[in-house]
Amino acid sequence: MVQENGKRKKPNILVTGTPGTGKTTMCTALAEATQLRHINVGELVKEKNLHDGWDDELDCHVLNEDLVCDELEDVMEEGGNIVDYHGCDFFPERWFDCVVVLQTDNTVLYDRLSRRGYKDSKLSNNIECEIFQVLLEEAKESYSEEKLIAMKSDNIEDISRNVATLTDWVRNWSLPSQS
Amino acid sequence: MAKPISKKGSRKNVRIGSRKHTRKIPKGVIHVQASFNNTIVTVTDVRGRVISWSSAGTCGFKGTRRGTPFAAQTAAGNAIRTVSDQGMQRAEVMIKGPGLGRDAALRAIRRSGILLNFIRDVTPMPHNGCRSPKKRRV
Repeated sequence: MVQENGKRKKPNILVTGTPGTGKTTMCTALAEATQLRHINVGELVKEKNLHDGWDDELDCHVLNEDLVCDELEDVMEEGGNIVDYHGCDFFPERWFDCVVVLQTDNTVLYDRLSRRGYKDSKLSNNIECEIFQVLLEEAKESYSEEKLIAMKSDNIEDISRNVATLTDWVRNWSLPSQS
Repeated sequence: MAKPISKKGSRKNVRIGSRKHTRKIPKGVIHVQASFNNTIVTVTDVRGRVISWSSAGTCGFKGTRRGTPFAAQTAAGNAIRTVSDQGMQRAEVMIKGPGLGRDAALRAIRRSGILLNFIRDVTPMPHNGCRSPKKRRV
C-alpha cells in the first residue's frame, strides 16, 4: 500500500467488494477507530439523486458516474475519507491511497444475501460476481498493485482483524506528514 | 380419492425414439464461463438444452494449467467438435467471467467455422441499492 500524502493530511481509502461482503460494517468500525469520514456511495446516490433512473430488471438505481465524481471531488482532495461501494473502476486513481477488496466465501455470502431478501437473478448475479472475482479483477485493472489489498471477510473476527490492520496503516500514513 | 395414474403413456407400451441418429441442430448458443482456475464451454440449443460441454479440467489439464488460454482453447475445440458433427452452422456466444480463457475460447470458436450471430458479455454485475452503467468488454 503506497503513501501519497503530497497535499492530503489524511489518507483516502476505498473499500470495495461484492454486496454482502461486509463493506459497510467494516467501514463503520474503521471510521470510528480512525476518525475518518465514511462515505457510503449507495446511500449518497439515493440521497442526492445521483442516478439515471431505476433498473426494473435488477431492482436498483442506475448510478451516474459523472455526478458521483463531481459530488465527491472536493472532499476527496481534502482527504480523510473511507469510500464504500461495490464498484471501483470509475473513480480517479489519484483519489485513493489504499484500495481494499473484501472477499467472502460463497456459502457464507449466499446466506447473508438470502437473509437480506435477495431472490432469483439478484441473488445469483451477486454470488457469481464473487465466484468470478469480478471486483478483484476490476480493482486490479484500475489501481496500481502497491495500493491494492484483498482481505477475507467471512466473520466478525475477520472484520475486527481487517479494521486493526487498516487502523495501523492509517496511523503509519499520518506520521511522515507530521515530521 | 386420487385417480390412479393411467399406464397409457408409460415406457412399457410407447416406443422410445431411437438415439442412433442424433438430431440436427442448425443453430445454438455457446456459453463460455472463464474463471481464474478453469474455463467451461457449454453448447445448448436455442431453448437452452445442453447438447455438448467441455472444460479445461475434463480435457486433462490439472492445477494451475486449467486457467491457461491454451486449456480454454482445447476445451472450446472439444465442445464444438461434437456440435459441428450434428450440423450446427450458426451460433450466439455468451461469455461470462474475467479469466484468461475468454479470448482464447472465442478464437477457437471463430476458427471452427460456425457463423456467429453475436457475441455477448454476460459477466455478472454486482448490484444492491444501485449499479454502475457497465461497459461490456466484448
